[in-house]
Amino acid sequence: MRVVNNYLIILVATAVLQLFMPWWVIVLVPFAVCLWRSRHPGKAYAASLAAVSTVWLTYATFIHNGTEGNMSNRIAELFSLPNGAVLLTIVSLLSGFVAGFAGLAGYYVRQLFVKEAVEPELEPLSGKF
Amino acid sequence: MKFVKAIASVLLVVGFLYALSRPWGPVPALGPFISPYTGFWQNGEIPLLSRINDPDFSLDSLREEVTIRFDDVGVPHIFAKNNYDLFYAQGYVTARDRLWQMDLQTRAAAGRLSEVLGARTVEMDRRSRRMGMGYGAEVNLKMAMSDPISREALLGYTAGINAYIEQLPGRSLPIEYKLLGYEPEAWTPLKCMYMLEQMTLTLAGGGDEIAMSNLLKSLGKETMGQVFPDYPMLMESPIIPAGTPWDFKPLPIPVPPVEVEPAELSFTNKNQKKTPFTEPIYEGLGSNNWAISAAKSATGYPILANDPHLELTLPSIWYQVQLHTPEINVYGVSLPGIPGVVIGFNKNVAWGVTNVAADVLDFYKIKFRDTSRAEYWYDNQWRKTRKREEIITVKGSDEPVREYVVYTHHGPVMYQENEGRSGPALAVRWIGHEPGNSFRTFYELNKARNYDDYRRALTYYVGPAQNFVYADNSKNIAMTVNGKFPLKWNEQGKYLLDGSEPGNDWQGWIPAAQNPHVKNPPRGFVSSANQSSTNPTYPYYINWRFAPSERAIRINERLAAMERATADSLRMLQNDNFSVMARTILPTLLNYLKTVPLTAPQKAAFQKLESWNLMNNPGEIAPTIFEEWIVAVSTAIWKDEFYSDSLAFRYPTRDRTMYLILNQPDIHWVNNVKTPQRETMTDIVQQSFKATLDSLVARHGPMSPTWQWATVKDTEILHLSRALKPFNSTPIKNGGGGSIVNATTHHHGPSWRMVVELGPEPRAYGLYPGGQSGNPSSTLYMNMLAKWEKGELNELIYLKTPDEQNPRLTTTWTLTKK
Repeated sequence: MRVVNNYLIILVATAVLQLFMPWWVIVLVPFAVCLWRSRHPGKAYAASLAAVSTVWLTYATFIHNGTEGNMSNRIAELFSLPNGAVLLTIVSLLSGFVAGFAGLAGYYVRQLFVKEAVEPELEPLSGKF
Repeated sequence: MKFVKAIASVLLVVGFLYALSRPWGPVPALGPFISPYTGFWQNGEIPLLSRINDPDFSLDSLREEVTIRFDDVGVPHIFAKNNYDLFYAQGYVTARDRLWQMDLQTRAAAGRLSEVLGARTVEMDRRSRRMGMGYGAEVNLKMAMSDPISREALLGYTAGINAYIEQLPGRSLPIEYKLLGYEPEAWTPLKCMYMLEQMTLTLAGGGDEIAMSNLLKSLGKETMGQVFPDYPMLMESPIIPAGTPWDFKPLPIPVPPVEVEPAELSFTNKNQKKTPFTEPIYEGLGSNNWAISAAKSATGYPILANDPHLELTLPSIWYQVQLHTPEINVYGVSLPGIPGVVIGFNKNVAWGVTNVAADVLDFYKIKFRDTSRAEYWYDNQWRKTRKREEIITVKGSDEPVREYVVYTHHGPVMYQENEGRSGPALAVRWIGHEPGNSFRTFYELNKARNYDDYRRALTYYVGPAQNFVYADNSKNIAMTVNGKFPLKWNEQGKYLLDGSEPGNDWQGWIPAAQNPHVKNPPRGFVSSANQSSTNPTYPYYINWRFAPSERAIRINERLAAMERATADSLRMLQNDNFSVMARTILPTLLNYLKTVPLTAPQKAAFQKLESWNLMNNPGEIAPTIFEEWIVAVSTAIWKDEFYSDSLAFRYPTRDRTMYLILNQPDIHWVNNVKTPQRETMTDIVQQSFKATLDSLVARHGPMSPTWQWATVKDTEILHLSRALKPFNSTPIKNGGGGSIVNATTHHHGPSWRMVVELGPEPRAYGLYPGGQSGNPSSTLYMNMLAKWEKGELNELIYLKTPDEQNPRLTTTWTLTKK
């Protein structure tokens, strides 16, 4: 369930913060969230990738459809891609890919500071005492 | 191990961040560019809906309430209570639709492209600086700001543009800013002056005296007079009809200095062809305008038409607008970056412009005392120069390019001696450096009520000189060849001038009232198509060559024959595809072919030409053959003597070429001196015919529908960047040509077509090949193109009150003072 929560936290935080902050929020947020509460490298990567891709894919699809692709199709052509839908897919995957590595980095940095048992619930804190 | 993983993963992420935050060559910083929150996605316009953009808002420094009503093609109809607010609102909406265009064009004029485009535009910027564009803009600004009316307009317009820029969030920046990775800077009144300079450069920034001087040296004065005569030899139909009396006492004409020594004037320039300011003027580029009298029209009032031909771009050079205050109610097209309407109509009058090819740019050979270039020889003594420091900031480079441009009393030194070529230093005397207030001309025309207002408005005008056509609902029609024209001796500036000789200076000006003009001529119409302003009886020298006469001849023939004409008659004339050039020369060319044996494909082409109705219509094959053939014939006649790999030369004019073919077929120029045998006109015609067909086959295969004129002419409208292909127009299939009234060529053509029926209430029609919006994703980006291609026009909505009802009106904005 933790991975689902992480996914939701990253999703909501990046969706909202990007309204006010630059694009690199999609790196900062997964890193911070995974630093804070990630317990597994694969899951850190997956939650970050999925969350950020969801946000970008949803918003970009909304715009792409609402504008009938009248800008995205042209930009796709500029980048020698067949159409805006392909560009949409690549952009979303790219954002997720970068966010995934940010989440992974968050997890590995966390490992420098905390010792985690196989059963991670509440373990780190108790271990300190 | 943990440590390594942490460091490595963090470094990887930092690497991603870095890579996505910076541009890579032509690719913009991808992070912000592809983000749906800030990137190109945000430039997608929702069809129809997005134009309703918060209709009520308050703005700083507005004085009273302004209402703007938009119609279905996106034209703003602005209702203000005073001039400041009027131009404020015009600036605001123009920036909303055309911000990047205004930015780019003023940067080009100011020589500041490199700031945003990098090292590749440094040479372009250097030329703008050396041309003295900044100097010209500054002297014009000084004049405009000293006049309360233009001052208020410029300040209002500037404040309106800046109000738009200030509220513009980064995510909504025009797509070009995002692609190029920079942001708009504040607008200034000086930028308006740069726009005017840019127009002056486009329309009056050419000259071919370097080529002419090289030819003079090799051919001598007498031959030059025969090959480059000062008035067309074959045919002309001047703008001011022959026989119009010159009802003034002319000033004494200046006397040329004793001897112009051709040997002294040579100038070698290997880079000639790449130097835009001295490029031979492209023959056939120009504009048309005319007005017919009440007697010729079905409405009982005059009808006026205008179609200025320019390089066609997206966004279009023009922006339609209606401007209304208690004093003004004008509709027409404006130039983004300049307040007011340039071509248009109001309740009482209509006007339009075409370019006058006046010689208002002259090069002077300068002799400096030493390499410091602090003094130059003039009137038998050393005179001091002034220096103007030009700093060109270059994107991606820490060090700006610095240059001291030297100014003589003639003007700035554009070419330094022996710089990349051999030859003397050349200073340029140019109308663009002359202080003036051309805005006032347009402002006064915008609110003109009668002929006297029109004539008074024109006195403010300096350049680029235009043929101002005029019509009013008091049933007057008129034409004025208008601009500030230097008073010159005959042929002054046809060749390079010696800058040390005072007799070569411009000797004052032709009085504005003596500029060629005509009112209500007996023939019942006035017209211009860039041809000779007058016949040789006009006492002053304006230039030795103008645009070729074919368009003018066709227009005048058709107008002379017109009776009970309507707006639609004039619209059809704007789209006329008849080739006067073919009518003049084709029968003679074909006769030469009749004397020689032809192959089967040549016979087929011959028959196409022989059965041609002489219309450059889109589906015809004959114009494809003819247009290419006539160029090949001209090249075959002249190239051996009038072309050089190392020197700038030019061919004689089209008129002179046709005169030779028709009347001097045995003249020595016909022979190709580069071959041992002696060529006759028959050889020239036959060889060029073969070469034309071979070239067409090589490019388009054997004769088939791929040879159709529209396909080969290949008219295409490029985005202003000339690099962003997806922002170009869809393919265009229409007729026309360089010598045709419908002057559409590969990249040039009618940039605005307007027809106005004067009357108790004006009825007007018009459109341009593009759309009001500069956003390539907008439905208003090229919505007028399809109709333009077909030669149709939109009816223009001329509102009298802000709350008038019209089914074509869409949204209303109310702007209030904050």
